Amino acid sequence: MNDKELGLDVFEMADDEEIKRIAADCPASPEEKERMFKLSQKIYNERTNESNEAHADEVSGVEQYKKPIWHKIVSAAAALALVAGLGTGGYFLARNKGADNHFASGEDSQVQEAAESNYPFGEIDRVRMISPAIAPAAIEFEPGQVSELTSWLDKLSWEEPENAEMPDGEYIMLYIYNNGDPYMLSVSLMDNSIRYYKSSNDEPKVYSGSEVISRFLNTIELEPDIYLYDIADISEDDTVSAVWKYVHMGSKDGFSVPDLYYKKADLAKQELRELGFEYKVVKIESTEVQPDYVVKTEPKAGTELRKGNTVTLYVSMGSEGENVTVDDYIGKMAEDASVMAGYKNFKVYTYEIPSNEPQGTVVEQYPKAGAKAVSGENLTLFTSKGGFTAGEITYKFVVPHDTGFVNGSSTVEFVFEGNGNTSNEMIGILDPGTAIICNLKGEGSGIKAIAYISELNTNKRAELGHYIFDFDNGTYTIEEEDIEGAFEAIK
Amino acid sequence: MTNEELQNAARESKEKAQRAIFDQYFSYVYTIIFSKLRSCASREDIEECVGDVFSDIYIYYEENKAGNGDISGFVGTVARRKAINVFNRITRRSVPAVSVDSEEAADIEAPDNTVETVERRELRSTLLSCIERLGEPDSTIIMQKYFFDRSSKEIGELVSMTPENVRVRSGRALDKLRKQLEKLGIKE
Repeated sequence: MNDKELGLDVFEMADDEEIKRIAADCPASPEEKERMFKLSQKIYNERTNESNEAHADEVSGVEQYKKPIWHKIVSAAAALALVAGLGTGGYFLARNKGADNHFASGEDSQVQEAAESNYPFGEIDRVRMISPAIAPAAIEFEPGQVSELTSWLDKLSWEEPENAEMPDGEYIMLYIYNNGDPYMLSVSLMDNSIRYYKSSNDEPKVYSGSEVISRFLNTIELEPDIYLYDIADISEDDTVSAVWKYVHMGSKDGFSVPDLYYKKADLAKQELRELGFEYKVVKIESTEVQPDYVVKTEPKAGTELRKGNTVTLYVSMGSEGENVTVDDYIGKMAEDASVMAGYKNFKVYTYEIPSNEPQGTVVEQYPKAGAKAVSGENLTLFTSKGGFTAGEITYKFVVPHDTGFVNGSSTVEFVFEGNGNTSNEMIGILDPGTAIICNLKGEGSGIKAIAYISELNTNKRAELGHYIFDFDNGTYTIEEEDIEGAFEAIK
Repeated sequence: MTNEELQNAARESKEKAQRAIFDQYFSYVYTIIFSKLRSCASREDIEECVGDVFSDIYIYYEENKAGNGDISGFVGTVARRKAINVFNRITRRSVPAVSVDSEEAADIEAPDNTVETVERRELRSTLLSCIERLGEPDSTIIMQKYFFDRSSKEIGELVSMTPENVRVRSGRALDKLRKQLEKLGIKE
């Protein structure tokens, strides 16, 4: 088929909106792009030189200096930077003044003179504090408070006392994010000792600490409107990292769950993916929301999550989402089977595969006959192409459930027993119900092979099954196979 | 991208600003030029035209004619004009001059055939939606193969697949598309 038949030449008259839609499909390879960029620069240089020369010829006597616009831009930027610089200077001044208010200056000097820091912990980028006064709520430090804490900790000389007993009394917990490698410091308000936890189940490392830290922590204002609730779930195994699951508004890697009610499931998935969330889909019955649209999300809209957290989409399957038993369609003609499956409200997809059966006959189906399914689900029928070519085998399976993977990043690999040959097939979108078909070439019969699926996004690889290929007859038998398991394993 | 954002990019160097303009508008410009010239020009002609358009944009931008705010409208206009110039140059289409008094004059249709224009727009929009509905990478494969006239090998590099798989997928996607279009009564 050529483009005339498909009629894509109508796009030659596309309007601006359509051009933008077409352009979304990245029309050229990086090399071509680079080539055109170089070309544009070359033409630009030729032209600007030409016009400069032309200019020089015309003008005589008067020296005219035309300042290029790039200069203006650079000077404007420089001016901006200057203003920004003033701003920061002011901020530092204000902060130092604030610090003086908190502490009597004389007492600090001995700490500041401590020869050199043997600071034992990780980086401190974000801090959440749970103190007895506000527990179980927490507050997140402002950047100024973070750097103040850091400078105090840095000035201390760190010693590990020999007989460290856990004192009674109250503690302040400082949860530190440390670029996603969190740890916790627990500061005793009794003896000022500091305990370092990598995980709340581990034995802590004890340091003698200093009164200045406790005093600094006590100066932090605990305004109820900045409390973060529900962040440290006691039932979590490890509060050290659990504290960071919910993200304070305004942080750079925190986003709130969008309102997806009554959005089409596909669009909702796309939106979540763009925000950096993982998702999983649960089908539920709903009388209000039409099938394939989102009924609700878990956690609900507005909840703040970190990138990579999972949002569960509850997608409607209509009110009459009834369970039906899948009929046996094998041996029927594709059209008849489609009509019959249509009565049961299946969405039918057919794929042609080589087979000895007459053309159009259903040779395989998924889900299998007798299986329980929900009406409205996909039904995949493999129909005969009518005949096969010796030496070719069509290996196939159906993607069992929603994987959430983006396109073009999965491969199926076959490792043939005996000669150690392998064959790789790139496969595209892993939409549930889509049939993945790999055409294999080879010769002989009784050839054992193992098929693996790997996913580049997760960098995981799992076994799909063991097979015996018969290239002479274009068929294969399954020794063992676990498609569901394999997809579970590469998630 | 607005002029202001561009100026931020230009802070460091002219080259940076040019690259920023180029990266931002490349797909858009390339698509405009390709769609106008695909039937008559070679790949080299098209690439040269793209380079030409961008050099124009750099110069205009430098002279600050692009104004403030979003410059995509400006970019689109430059690209369209250049493409039409190249098209006319290549096809050397001479506009036939007909005297208003001559008998033929009555037979010349008005250039704006509204009904046809609307129908075509409808068709384009439906076709585009159907292709988009195929999802990735199928929509890209179809557009690249049948509009941008690329080989399976080239498409394979764009969507990171083997040429064989591109061929298989494009065949299947085409079937799917044809069925959709039949359903809508567009194809026989």
